[in-house]
Amino acid sequence: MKKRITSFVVVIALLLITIFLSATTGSVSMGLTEFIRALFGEANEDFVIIKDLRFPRIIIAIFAGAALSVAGALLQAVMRNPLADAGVIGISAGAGFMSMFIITFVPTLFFFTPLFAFIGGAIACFLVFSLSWKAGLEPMRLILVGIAISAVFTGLKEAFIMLCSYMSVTIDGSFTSTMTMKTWTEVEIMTVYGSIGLVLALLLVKWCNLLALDDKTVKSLGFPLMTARIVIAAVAVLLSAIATYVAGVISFVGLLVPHIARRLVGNDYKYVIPFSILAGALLILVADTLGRILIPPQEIPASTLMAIIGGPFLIFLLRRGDRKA
Amino acid sequence: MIIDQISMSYDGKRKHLDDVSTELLKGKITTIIGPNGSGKSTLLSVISRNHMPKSGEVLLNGLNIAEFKAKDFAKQLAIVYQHNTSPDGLTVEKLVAFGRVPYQSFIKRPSEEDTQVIDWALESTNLLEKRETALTDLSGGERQRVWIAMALAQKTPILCLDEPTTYLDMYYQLELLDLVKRLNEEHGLTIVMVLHDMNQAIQYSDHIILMQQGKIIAEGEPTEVITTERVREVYNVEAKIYADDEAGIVVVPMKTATMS
Repeated sequence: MKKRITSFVVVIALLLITIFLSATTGSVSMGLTEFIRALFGEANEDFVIIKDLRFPRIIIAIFAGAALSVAGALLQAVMRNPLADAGVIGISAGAGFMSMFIITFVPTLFFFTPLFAFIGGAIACFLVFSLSWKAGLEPMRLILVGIAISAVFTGLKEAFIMLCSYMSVTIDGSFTSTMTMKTWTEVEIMTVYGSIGLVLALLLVKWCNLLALDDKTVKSLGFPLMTARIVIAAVAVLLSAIATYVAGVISFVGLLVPHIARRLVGNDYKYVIPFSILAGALLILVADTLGRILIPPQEIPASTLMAIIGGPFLIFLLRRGDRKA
Repeated sequence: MIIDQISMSYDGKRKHLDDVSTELLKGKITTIIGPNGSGKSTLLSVISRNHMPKSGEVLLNGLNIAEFKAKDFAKQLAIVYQHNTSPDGLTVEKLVAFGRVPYQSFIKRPSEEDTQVIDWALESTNLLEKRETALTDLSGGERQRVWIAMALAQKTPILCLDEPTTYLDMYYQLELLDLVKRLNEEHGLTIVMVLHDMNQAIQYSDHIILMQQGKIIAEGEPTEVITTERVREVYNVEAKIYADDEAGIVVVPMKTATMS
């Protein structure tokens, strides 16, 4: 109980500190008092630059991190598999490919791209689910099928990028998974859809908890198991699709964050989801900020940093799973 | 509950239940026994709607159970399985609270009644002191009682148990069966269970259903159903049966019948 409260306080504090540091560090920098004064309305030229250049980026990093972490936590509940992650099992790749496809061939539908990202993610999710189902979901098989699906969609997307550069069509920066040059329009898309997804996720905590029991037990309680699975998976796909659409494919966040959350606040989704929101936001914001300030003026994408941390972590989880079995 | 000409097959080839008909008596303890693969657990899973029969129907209060809404059925019949998984760190109380799911909806939050029923379920299973304990920290016997408490929280007139004693030591086996008997006597619960141990079945049941290869071979009062001939025929075991003041009869298996 005490550990839970401490964990929440610490992660909120760290998040606030990181937001401040991220906003004030870089080619234009300022101190804490100056920053807070400007935030509350004092005229400041540097602050205008920070606001237009860094705020959209910070907000997107926060929401993308939160969305991907919660998507991971939800997928882990549905698939009863601690290794499920939207990036690893191809949902992000599906969403990325589909948005690319629409922008390339039906640019008039640009406005609906988030919807198509969702459809792409849903197709990938359905494929992984149905192809790895064999009298239950065996964790290892799910991951292998997921990686294969992810590879196919990533390959298709890359083929498109080649094709597009050949046709000299400009590609939106977001598909190369960086968070530079974010506009307020993208912020709007991310925050609106992201908030909807996150609120839905918070409403679904009880269902998520029930899914931890055996299928037959859940069914014997008169609980609509299949409906719950589909609804939870749909929210997970929404969250990961929107994050992918705005911030590009970032793998392993959904793996790393819920795992840490369970360690710190327990298995109850009432705490896992809120904690994942905060810790996911923190992680991606840290990764993005580090990527920005480590070797200026070059940038390391957050997804690259996440892959470097996340890959070994997946191996660690797999090895631990082996020992348990 | 009336079971009317139920046939059922998992693979479409072997008949796991073959034209089974019987009636489960209200307020009694009925135990289904039989060797492995005789269809006893399958019968229980058809009764509890976990599997749909290929043909035939199960009637509860005159209504086919397939026609009940899932939640309404969960208010009529609860089932405890022999093996259950639960998430790490889940407390006894939280698990038992899941038993109230049939009475809650997405919007409706836990009510005063829910709390009372959960308390009653914990008290009946002697778990009040363990309510804050994590399931993983309990003994096998206590854990099985928690699952029974969850089923009790469903407040159903019928309670099914699928080999509830299989993984338990002798002490906990008897403790659990005493609990089942008490629930039957004090709360009038109709009990339907599958047991492996023939003597426990005899000792604790009002009614025994003996199954073999998907069919009911015999049913009735324990002392009528269990005979040396039937034990030989169904289990392939030579057994001696002695009269006993408390249990009625005691079966002592001697050797396999094929060896003689």
